[in-house]
Amino acid sequence: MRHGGALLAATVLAFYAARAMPGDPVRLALAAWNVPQTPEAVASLSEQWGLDRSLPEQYARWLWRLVQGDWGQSFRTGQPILAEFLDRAPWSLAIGLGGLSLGAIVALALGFASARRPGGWADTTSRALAILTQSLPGFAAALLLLWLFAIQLGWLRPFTGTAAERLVLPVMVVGIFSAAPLARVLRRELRQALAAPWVRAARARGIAERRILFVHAGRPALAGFVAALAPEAAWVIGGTAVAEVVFAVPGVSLFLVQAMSARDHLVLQAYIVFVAAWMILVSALAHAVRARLDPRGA
Amino acid sequence: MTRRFAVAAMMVLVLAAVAIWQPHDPEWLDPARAFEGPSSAHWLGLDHLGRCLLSRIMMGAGPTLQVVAGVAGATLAFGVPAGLTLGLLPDRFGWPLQRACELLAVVPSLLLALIVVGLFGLSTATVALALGLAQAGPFALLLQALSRRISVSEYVLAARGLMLPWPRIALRHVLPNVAPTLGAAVAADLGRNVLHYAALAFLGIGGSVSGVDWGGMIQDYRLHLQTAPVLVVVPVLAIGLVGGGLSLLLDPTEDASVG
Repeated sequence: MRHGGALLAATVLAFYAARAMPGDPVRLALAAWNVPQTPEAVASLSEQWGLDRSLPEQYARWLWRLVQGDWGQSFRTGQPILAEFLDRAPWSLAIGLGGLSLGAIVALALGFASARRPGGWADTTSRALAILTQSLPGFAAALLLLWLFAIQLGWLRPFTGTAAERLVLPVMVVGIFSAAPLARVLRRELRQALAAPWVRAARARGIAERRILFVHAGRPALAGFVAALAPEAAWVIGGTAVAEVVFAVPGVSLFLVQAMSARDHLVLQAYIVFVAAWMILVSALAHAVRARLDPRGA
Repeated sequence: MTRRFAVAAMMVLVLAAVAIWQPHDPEWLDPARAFEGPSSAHWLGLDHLGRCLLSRIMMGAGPTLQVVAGVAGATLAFGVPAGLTLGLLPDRFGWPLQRACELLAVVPSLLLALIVVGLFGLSTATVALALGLAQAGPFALLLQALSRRISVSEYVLAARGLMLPWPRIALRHVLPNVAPTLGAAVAADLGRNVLHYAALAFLGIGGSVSGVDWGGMIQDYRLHLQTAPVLVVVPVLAIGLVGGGLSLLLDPTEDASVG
């Protein structure tokens, strides 16, 4: 119910945000089609798009069509927007979820290793990674990888190769950038859990340090880890924008970037709804997982 | 911490200086000398149109500084009234504002900025407003929590007892006591905003930036990545040094001693 309300709020936001866009969509579309902007042409297109009605009525009609799966057509490409999104979503999801999985695995390894030996090599590595991702913008890291693997080493053809070849570098970029903060979060949570009284009790009972780290401290720390992972996962679709642009991957965000330069407001509306639906889905899932890992907080 | 603030302030002063003065006109071009290597006149060489790279890098500090200062200003302008209202008014009046701030705290600021810039065009002002609005949400929630704590203290109770109007209590009694914490919260985001702005300028949604700009330079120069990587490396280093430097100096969550 709460999630339904949030989604509805997102549709209102999407609708009015696109209307706040400067420039009359009818004139922009006519200009894009090279149709002379006579008053008759403007009036008939406004009527066809329902732009002559009141805003709340337009919103209701737009929402009704949205629910039925009619997301309108991009006036730039003439293609139905929903079909375009569904075509492109796998690319974005592959980069986002692939990168996030890579990041989570690296973060788990680095996090446990650096909590076990603070100041050791894993701790130093994860701190260096955190500083690197704070200083280097994502697109610069993407260009660097492109230069190294495609130009210097010639191992990959990121623009013309197979799907796997095109995805390797963007997944690496997203992975590196999500690994860094997640590793620091996990380390902090683990150190906190290791200082807790139940860990001292476990040590007093003579339980092996390894088991204490992975089981006794690990479980509550993982709940915190999932809490930090959730916003990253929620942001997956939009967070890949930079990687999609640099590597020319035909994902959802590249579509938005292209649509924005043509002031295609229907695409923006659809994008906001799409991203909001994804964020809400992820946060609901994360909430359920957290409640299972650490029932105290739920 | 004060020493770190001093170093950061010095960094900002140096950036302002190089944004104002450059050895050569950053727009002066000589296509015949494109890609010329470093020389005593042009320390970093010339770009693909024969423009002085060093002068352009120095000039590019300007928009970055404008955005960083603008975001801080916008965060305070939106966040202080919102936070004080939330902290001092009863919940039944404040809840729509509360929801809005929570929403802003959840939505990544770069995503919001992407949409705002797409709607209203790319300029230092729109980026500053968009990032400032995004960061005002969590900022207002912080100020709410802080002012709730202060509002039960004796001196606020005394002021209430004197029947002072609540805006006066907010500005004279609450705000001065939380100002240092608020300043630190805004400062912690400065470095990140350098990177956000660079990403937006690089993506070029809502038009490309007018004038010389680090993110825009990388967008232009990346086509020459193969033949002249120095053109990309130098602006990336500039962004990294300024953005990373400000984060390391001012963001306590990345402090080495924490944890």
